[in-house]
Amino acid sequence: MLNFLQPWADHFPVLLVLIPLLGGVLAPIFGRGSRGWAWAVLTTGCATIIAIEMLLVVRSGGAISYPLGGWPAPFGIELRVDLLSAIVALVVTSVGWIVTIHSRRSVQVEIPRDRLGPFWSVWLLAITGLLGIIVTGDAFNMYVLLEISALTIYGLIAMGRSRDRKALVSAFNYLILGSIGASFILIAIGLLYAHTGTLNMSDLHQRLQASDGGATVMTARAFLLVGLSLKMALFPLHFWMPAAYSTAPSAVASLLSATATKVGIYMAMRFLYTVLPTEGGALTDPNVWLLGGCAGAAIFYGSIQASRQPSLSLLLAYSSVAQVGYIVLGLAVGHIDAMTGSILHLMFHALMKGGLFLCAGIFIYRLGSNDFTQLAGIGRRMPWTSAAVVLGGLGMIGVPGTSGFISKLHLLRGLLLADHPILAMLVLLGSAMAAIYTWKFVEIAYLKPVAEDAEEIREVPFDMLWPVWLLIGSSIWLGLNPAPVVELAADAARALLGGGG
Amino acid sequence: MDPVLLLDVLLLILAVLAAVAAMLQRDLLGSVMLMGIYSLLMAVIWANLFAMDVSFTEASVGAGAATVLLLMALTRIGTRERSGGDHSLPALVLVVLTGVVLLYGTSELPRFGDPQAPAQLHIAPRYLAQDIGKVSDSATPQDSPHGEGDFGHHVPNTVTAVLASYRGYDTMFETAVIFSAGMCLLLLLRPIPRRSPETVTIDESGSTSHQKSESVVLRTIGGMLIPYILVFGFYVQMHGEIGPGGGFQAGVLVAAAFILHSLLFGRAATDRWLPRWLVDLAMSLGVLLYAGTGVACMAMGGHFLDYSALDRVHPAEAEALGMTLVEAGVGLTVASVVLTIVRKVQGGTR
Amino acid sequence: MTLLGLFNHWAFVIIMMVGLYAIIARNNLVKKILGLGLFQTGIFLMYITLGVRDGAAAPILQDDPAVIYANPLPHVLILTAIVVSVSTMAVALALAIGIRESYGTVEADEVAALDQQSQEVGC
Repeated sequence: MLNFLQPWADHFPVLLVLIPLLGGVLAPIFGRGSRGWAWAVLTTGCATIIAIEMLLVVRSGGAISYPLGGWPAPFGIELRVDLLSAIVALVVTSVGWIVTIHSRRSVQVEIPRDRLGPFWSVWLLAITGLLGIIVTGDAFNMYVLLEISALTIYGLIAMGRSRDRKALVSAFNYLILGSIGASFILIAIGLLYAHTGTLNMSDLHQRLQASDGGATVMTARAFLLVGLSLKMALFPLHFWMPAAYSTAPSAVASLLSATATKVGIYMAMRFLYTVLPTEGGALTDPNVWLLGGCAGAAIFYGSIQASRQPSLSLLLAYSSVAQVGYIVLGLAVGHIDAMTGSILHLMFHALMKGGLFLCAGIFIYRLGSNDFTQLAGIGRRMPWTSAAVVLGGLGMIGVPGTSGFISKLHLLRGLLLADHPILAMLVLLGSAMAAIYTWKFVEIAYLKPVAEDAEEIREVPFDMLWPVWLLIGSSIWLGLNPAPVVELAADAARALLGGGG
Repeated sequence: MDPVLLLDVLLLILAVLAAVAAMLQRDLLGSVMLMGIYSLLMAVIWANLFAMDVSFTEASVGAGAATVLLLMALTRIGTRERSGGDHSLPALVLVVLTGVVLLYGTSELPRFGDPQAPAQLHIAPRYLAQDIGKVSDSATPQDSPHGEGDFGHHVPNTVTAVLASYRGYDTMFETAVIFSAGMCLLLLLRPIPRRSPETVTIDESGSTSHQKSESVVLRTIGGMLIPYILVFGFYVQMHGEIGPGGGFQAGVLVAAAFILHSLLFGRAATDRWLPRWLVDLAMSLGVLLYAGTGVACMAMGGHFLDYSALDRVHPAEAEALGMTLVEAGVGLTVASVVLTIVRKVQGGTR
Repeated sequence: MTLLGLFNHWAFVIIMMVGLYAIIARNNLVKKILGLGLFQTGIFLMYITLGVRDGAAAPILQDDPAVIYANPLPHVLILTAIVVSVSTMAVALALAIGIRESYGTVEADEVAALDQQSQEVGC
């Protein structure tokens, strides 16, 4: 551990949230104009260091509980960090950091200069909300933080208006759906509170496990499932996502695809396994079938739609619909291997999709859009960016040697061991369809002749490229040296399925 | 029959009627006014259900600030709602389905006022006794005088106690939500090119939105009101620990005073009293004061927002002090953000 | 007494349904925003009802030890939720103003038609 952090080691969970919060609050003062970017990089960088240290602490010493205000749970709000939360926190901070570093130029182009201060402030507050959700151990506190991240994300998406006015509409639609989703979660938390008298998540879990549940808990579960599905864009409640991700400013799309949906999935894991009652650590059959069915349909539908889209952003967004399906599939089945696969895919997908959306943003930065008609022959004009897209696409397929292979392998093994051969077939089918949409890009970028007006297009500067290659490269590197990460994910999965962390 | 329940049922019937009327009304101005009435009815209902602080907040934030905001937005959006083409059977089915599920889900909840309900039994009694005690592993001395409770009788309003201390972390983020909303509006609404301050700008609906009022009567009477609103705002701010009130309500009141001032005397005059940079700064400072109080507690060896760490010898007094500080932070952010949001939505230079 | 023991929850469901229907079915964006506000206040009603206790006083402590109080926790939660819902409304209104300025209308179907048109023209 870094020495100077030693005295603060007890406070890591709250520091993780506090740093981006203070960064966001101070951004309008310190981060005016072009300094805002440096301020955001500094803030997210500090948060990443805390997240790394926190993962080390949790890895060696077990879950951390932090009583805010010194009030013991369940009276005060408790922060609770177990292995899963530490992993997701590290994914969000590190990918968030790299995306922030990358986005200096694209933000300068896409956001009016006089509003850079508020932009970076809102950017950091969105990260604050996401991190707060990850570390909290209190159900209502999670709702409040969910609303912070949601509110700021609506604002960020709408800033795509300078490129396309549709961004306003997709932000508005997302606001309506997101608020309905959050309200459903609020209803569910209210029902659970009425039934148990507590808001602390582990206390809730104990009391729910001990009670017979009945109509109240069943309805709470239904409302949670709908609300969370909206938040994590699980088919058939995914429809806000492609519109939002394809119209948002490119930096924002990368940030959201890598972090926001992941945190939605994390919330689902939390609620389903460590708050709501489970049957010996597993979901009951109707839940498995419902979630597994939606996830399977998401893989199928998302992959088919992805191969029919007219632009790279839309392709990637629909591919995300499918990838959410994979993660939820492993989450639903509840087998230890499947859950490990889920957690692995959550991490790897954040790296790969984050990198891919950065590439999509690079094309927008150079060409003004990433419609496929514009990308003809781009592989020869922008070789580094195009190669990164292809490598990322191979990861989406799950070609051996990429990290996508590792996560899908665990997922498949878990599905087969848990006796779900049909769902396992769907995973394979989804991979084949991922090959189709990846090939579509290869065909356009490498086999088509260069568009006539694209003669002057050159590769983007190095400072936009290296973050992309860092993300894609690390996803490949983890695919070649998977052992430590797999072990980490397996431990996290075991803790989750063991009921509580 | 319990008079509380009787009044509750009557008021709720009225509220439901107001809600339905607001949704049926085609003139958006009418809709907004009906929503204001609905909100006021709700404020009365909250008061009847013993939720004084919620009532106060609903009246100031829900019926007050939200209505003003909606009205100002309507001057830029237009008040006409096109009729026709907006009834949908699938929507109706979906909504009825949700309703039925919820009726089922609430059917096993404890009856109205049940003293044996889980919500009344588990953690609420300890809040009401204000006798929880800090976690023992911290350096808190164990001599916290028993019978004095957590706050030494300094905070009889338990809502404030839960809001600012037991669940102070939630409230910090509540303040951050307001701050985020303010930032989002600064981000989203583009500033209209600057004109000289006294120019009369007339927007579409014909109302003059940011020059001073022409009526001498309005300006005199309104001007007399402003100091009283401000004093009341500060009273509500300071009184939060003892009675209903606190930073949220006070912040809205203070903002209302300045909004009234700018409506009566023009925005330029308000800016002379309260420079814009100060408002911008206050938005950040409020959250900073809140979080900073928490960090100070950490620096003094306690947990985040453990106010008793500020003075180990007199923990109860330190709690009260910490709550006053964070409430001041809330008030500062709420007042400045409401002011900013209203001006942003109103449009014009900022 | 027992007959109306769940009346507040029925009212909550009705208010919520009215709001939700307006959100989904109405075309006008401002109406959707108002519906969202209604939807959320319905939920507040459920929470506040959980705090009510027979013969209680408002949870502001008095010297008389015999007084029983309503549960303050739901009040605190709903104070937070009210603020959140108004903040959401402010952002939604800002978006609606933006849509009105860029599209000239705030009717959802007209906005969709305009988007469709610009797509057919070829971006």
